[in-house]
Amino acid sequence: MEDFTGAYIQRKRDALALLVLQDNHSVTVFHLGGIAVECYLKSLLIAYHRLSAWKHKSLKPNDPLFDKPIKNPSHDLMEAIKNMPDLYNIAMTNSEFLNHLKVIIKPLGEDSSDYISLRYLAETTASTEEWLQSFNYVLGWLEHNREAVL
Amino acid sequence: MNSAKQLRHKLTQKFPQQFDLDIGAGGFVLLTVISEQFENQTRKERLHPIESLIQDAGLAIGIIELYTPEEAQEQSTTLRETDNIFPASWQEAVSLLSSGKVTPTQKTEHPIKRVVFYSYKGGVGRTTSLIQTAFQLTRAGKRVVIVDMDVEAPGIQTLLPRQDLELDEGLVDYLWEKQTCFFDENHQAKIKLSGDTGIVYSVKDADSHRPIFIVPAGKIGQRYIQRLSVLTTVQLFAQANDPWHQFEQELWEQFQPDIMLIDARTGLNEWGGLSLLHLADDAFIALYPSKQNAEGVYFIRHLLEELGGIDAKLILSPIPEGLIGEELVKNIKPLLGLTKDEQFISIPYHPNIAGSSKFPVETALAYYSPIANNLLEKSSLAEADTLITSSNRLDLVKSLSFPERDAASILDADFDAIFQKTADFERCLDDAVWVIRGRKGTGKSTLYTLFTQHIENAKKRSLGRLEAIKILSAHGESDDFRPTGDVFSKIQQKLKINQTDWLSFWRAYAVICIYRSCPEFSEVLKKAKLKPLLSRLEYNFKKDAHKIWSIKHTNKLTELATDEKLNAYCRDALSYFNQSLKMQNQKTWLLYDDLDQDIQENSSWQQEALSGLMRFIYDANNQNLYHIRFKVFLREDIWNNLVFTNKSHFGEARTLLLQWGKTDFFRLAYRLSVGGSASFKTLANRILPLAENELDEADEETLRQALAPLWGLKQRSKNAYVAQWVYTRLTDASDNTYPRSLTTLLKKAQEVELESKHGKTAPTDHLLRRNSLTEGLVAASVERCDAIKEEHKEFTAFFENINELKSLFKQKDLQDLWQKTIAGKSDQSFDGFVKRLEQIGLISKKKNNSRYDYAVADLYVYGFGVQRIQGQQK
Repeated sequence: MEDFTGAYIQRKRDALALLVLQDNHSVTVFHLGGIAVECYLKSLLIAYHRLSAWKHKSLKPNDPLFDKPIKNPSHDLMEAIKNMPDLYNIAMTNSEFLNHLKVIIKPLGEDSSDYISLRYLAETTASTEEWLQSFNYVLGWLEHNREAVL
Repeated sequence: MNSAKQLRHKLTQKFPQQFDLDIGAGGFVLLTVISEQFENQTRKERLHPIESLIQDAGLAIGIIELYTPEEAQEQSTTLRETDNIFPASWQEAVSLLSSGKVTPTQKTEHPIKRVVFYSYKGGVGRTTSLIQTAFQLTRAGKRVVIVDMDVEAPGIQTLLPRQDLELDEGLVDYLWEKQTCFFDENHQAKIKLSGDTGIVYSVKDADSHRPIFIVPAGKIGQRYIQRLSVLTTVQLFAQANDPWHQFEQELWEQFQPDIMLIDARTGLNEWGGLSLLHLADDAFIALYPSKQNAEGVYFIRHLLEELGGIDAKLILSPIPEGLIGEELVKNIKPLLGLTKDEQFISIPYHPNIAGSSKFPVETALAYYSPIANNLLEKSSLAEADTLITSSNRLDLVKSLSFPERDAASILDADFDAIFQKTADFERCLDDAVWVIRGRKGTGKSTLYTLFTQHIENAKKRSLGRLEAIKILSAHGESDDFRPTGDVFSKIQQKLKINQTDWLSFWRAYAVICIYRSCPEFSEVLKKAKLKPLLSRLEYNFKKDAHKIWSIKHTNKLTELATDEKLNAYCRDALSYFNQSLKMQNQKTWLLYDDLDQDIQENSSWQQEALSGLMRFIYDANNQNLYHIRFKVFLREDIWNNLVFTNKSHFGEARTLLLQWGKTDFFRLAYRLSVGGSASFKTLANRILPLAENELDEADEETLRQALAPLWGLKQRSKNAYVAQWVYTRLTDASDNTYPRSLTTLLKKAQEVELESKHGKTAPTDHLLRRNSLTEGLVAASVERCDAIKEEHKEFTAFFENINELKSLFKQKDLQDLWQKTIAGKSDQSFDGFVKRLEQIGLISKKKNNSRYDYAVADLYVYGFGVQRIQGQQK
């Protein structure tokens, strides 16, 4: 199985390193930052259901998905959260988290590409300051609620 | 419809089974749509129509994923929506509600109806209500099982204890075994429902000798707590073979109950949630009428209705006596979100209940009958459904008959079938009641005619109270030999010339009436000193010789009034007659009707004439003439405007305001419908047998139920009774209803019903649909407006232009119309005019903080063509 925890740490470091450079690396920052969140969610998902491989059945007792196969949510961050019902229920009560997560998924706004497809964009003038706030909030919030759901 | 439901509805139309919708805090929409409609579209093109749907619903655009099926496959994205979702906790229920979902109707293999008794807070008499209801349902022939699901504080086993042996195990033990123990051919379940050690026991109702089955929670102790704590509540109910469903199935197989009454846990915890959200076919929520209950109860009722369409009924309990209780109920009502016609069940504080350790509490059973009736109504409706379906609905509608009946036929040929005595009837028989007042059309003349011309029928409904009473018409249609309109004018002139008080006139007139109707009075008059009086009476008023009132009679009557000596003889004659009646233990009643017609209205002497009669009655009483009693039938507004000395003595005890109360109205509706159609009577009797003598005693709930085959029980999708709706719409601004309006309404409704289609959409449990009733209401309104125009000719010009007003209006609008129409035609002030309109029930004053000053009574809106202001209920 992939090393999602390791990938999360490294991609987060990459994104933050690019942020402090003088040149405009925003597209890559948004892209790598999104991947960092994706990796974190996947590492959480594996721990949540005690998975040793994708498509294995959930081993989390008393969970609505218990004994059901858990698929790789790919780049769909919301799908990853929905696959952890306890986390999803908490998320749905917090509009601040949902709004920050939306920024991570679509850093350039509703009509633009998501953080994955963004890599084919040459550059953007979009601010990284607001994005960074969302990035920190989403990761901080996930870390904060990790214990409660595992 | 809430905004989530609205969005879900629109999305279902546009993308059936192609989306996954959830809504988070702050209306944050999480939506995934997988649809071929997105082929060859940019993100912007896909998003545009969906954005407007979300915005129209007042929600926030959150995370919206829009894929073609191919893209979804690449992304491994699938939809997770399932149709059959039953919430197993409050959290799930709220989440379903916020995402606009509803729960489907649950299909069970057994027919037991589950009724949940819930309270948001404890100590409000929830369990008491449940137990009292159980006894009433048992007495109505139902097999009832009580299940104690208040597992953290069980009470049923203490209030209705097991008699045969000591309680050992209960529901919690049963569910624990089913959920946690292992079974194979060598290891079978040990905890059974029936048998010697079965957890279900029964208590016998001493009245009906029928059993009530009890499922206790379990014996409280260490073992109970351990077992309760390991139960995983969600998995007790989730699947068809889960422990709860096994329990119900076994219960059905072994006990066949009709109704399961579930005592639920209070508050927003797991067990209460499961009972209400997962099990309830019907629910009652008990609450003390205080603000701390209102918020929670409002939320839970709303949740139940939105999710599963369950109309939870409210039980206010225990309501303190008197003003405090009334005030509490008044204050809490707006906080509960009830609709205008919606009812709640009130249980007053009752010391026997508070101090009782033995159930049922017989003396308080009646308070709880609305709960049982509510449940029984539903089963009787199902019965009506079968009966009407199997017979020919159209034939039944045709068979109804609502002919216009005049008072004469009601009191004679149709008396047994149609005459409806109102609650006031008993008071009418009271000697102390001298004035019977009421609006035109409330039945004053009917009562006068009943007593003066159909005494045998009157006695049938009087339970022996008229046995020693002789009733005479002292003035009115029952005796043609009487002075009428213009004769009274002449009498007035003569009295004026002679400066004689009207009191003397009424005394002389009474003497003539008694002389003509009571032969024994002649004996009294034979006393030597009364001879001059007797000779005049014999010469001028002998019954056989004088049948038509002529000028001679007017002159002689006036003479008896104006000649002081003769009038004094009249006074003495009445005293002697009273004495003679006393000796025989008899009484004579003198009845006066039609005074509003015969004594010129608004004339300068109307007041004097009528007040003279009142003073005569008062004077007779002061002379201790207790065996000669008087009853004057007088129009309400004339009475109100009457001013005379000692009017204060004509208070509540002396006068009776004749009104058609709600139950009188329902009884009449029932009599009219069964009285006109033998087939409908047969049908109605099969659904709810109501004997003649029971009808006058039947309470409001029973009457509503009895009327259900006629016009249905409740309005669709509302917790409001049809009977109440009809009653409210036929009531004027002073809470008066008119029997004739009901006949008009039913007759018209029947006509419309016969013209309507009788296809599959026609209801199968009642005959007259709402649309037909609505048209009937219009006809009744027109009839009432015609009556009011006829009655108040002085307002004709105003009535002709009243449609310039709206149903709610400002005082200024009314004043302008008054100025334009009738202001100059009499010396009546505007204030007097408004007071008059209020008195006749046409308008009512709105509360101080209202946008409008007055409202036109519902009953008159259609008939006068007044435009209804939006927001006023139809």
